[in-house]
Amino acid sequence: MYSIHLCSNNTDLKVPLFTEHIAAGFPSPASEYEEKELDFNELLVKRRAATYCLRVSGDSMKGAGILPGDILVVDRSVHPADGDIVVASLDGEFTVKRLVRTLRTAVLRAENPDYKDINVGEDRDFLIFGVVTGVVRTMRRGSV
Amino acid sequence: MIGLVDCNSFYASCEKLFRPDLYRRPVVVLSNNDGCIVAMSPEAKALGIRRGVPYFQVRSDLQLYDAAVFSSNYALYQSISNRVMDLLEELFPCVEVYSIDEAFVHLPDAGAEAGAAVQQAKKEVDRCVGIPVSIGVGRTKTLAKIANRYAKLSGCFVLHPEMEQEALQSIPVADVWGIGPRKGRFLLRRGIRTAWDLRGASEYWIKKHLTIVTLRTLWELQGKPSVADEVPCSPKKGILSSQGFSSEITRLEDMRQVIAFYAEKTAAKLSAQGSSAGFVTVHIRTHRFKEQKQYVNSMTIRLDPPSRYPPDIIAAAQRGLDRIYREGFAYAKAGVYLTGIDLPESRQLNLFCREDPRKAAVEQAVSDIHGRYGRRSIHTLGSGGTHQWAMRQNLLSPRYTTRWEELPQV
Repeated sequence: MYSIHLCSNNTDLKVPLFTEHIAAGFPSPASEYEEKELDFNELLVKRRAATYCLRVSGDSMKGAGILPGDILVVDRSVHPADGDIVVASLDGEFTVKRLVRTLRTAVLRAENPDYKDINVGEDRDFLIFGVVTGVVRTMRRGSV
Repeated sequence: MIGLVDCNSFYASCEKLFRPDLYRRPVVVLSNNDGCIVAMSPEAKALGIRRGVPYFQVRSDLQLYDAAVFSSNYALYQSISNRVMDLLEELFPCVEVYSIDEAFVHLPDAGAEAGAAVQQAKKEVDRCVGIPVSIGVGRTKTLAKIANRYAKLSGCFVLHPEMEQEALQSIPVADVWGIGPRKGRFLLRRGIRTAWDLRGASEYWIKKHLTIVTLRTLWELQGKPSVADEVPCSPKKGILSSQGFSSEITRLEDMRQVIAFYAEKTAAKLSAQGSSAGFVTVHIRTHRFKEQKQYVNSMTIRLDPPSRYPPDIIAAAQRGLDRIYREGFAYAKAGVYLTGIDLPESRQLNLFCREDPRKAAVEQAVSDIHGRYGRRSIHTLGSGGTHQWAMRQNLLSPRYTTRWEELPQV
């Protein structure tokens, strides 16, 4: 049932959660060593605000272990360096390639012999969207 | 000093983020029912498209210039907005989220340090989230708003006290935050033409002919902070669903439906995180900046035991509404706010009130149906079958950041 009352301010009471049980038996010898469970976000996402997920279509990066249907974890806060795998926009399309950078030039290199290197000259509309920091793949049909 | 961070053409910028083919094309976003233009990219602004223009009037022009047109995709905008705000919270000690695309940030330093801090923040948001922002800094929120107009040109602008006169003299009074066209015309007839004129107006006269709201604006222009903080201090501890209406609501019946709708939305968020709420606050208000009879009230109802069951939350919200609703006002905004939110692990059972197991079963069934057939496929009766505010969205973009099935492709 509800009871109605006016609150001038909303407070909330935190009830501590005691993980240490008071049990009539022997305490678990492992209880002092209990740790936080593994969290995939911790592993894959360094900066939440800067991280986006993109779905791979195409096999140009199969040599790097990036397959069609994979989910790329892309971190925009990372500064792209030579050798990084990046998502870039090139002439109005997203592409995922390895960035090969020398002093003067930048090349987008596929990891598949069927694809040629792309020279990113000044004549092309080119922007790096972000650096690929992870790949997520599930192994059974029906999952994302 | 206070900074106003404003996302440039926010909705249009969100639509462009995952569409490199649109980076240089005009982009417009339509209002709730695909009725009017609500956001334009800089390229669309350059075509002379104005905010608020009915879509059908400019449809052929937009086609001619190969513009991309989108329905409002709130799921996307909210997700991107959260990223912008999260990042600002990393960068500034105190952030007040003012709207989906604006936030006030408090800057401990004045002068050159403030300028450097906002420059850095602008760069970070642009780079990390991918949304361009402009930041205006001033001594008060109203001055920060004015500074933001200048920031639109250069990205960042600090309105130092010695520059205020020159800046304020070039701002028409109607453009000052909180004044608007109606009050603006009234002031204009009395010879108050610019923000600077208003700053020097007689406080006695303003109080007599306008409201305390305008007086506060005057103080703000003088550099005295007078606008209270808008947001509840710790939004993360509560769940809020609130919106301004497209047309004002004047009947209790309609308001009950709106409140049920918001209550159901908050209950869904609560359910998603597996928590229960101990308090339901319902809030209604008239249009703050309109010269008309004003009414604002809110009431908090206790849920005992805490609940996340939508009918409980709707009933409590409506009960609160019935207590505070007054006839004869035109309501412009309402909201439902849940607090006293517990985590499932720390829930205390009430010794005298056992939870009805049927509630959990209903909750599970509803959640399954929503998962399969969409968010509004079934809903409580009170939140209405057909909404005046139910949306037509024929040109919706994917929910790139919130649905696995709708991720951008690369």
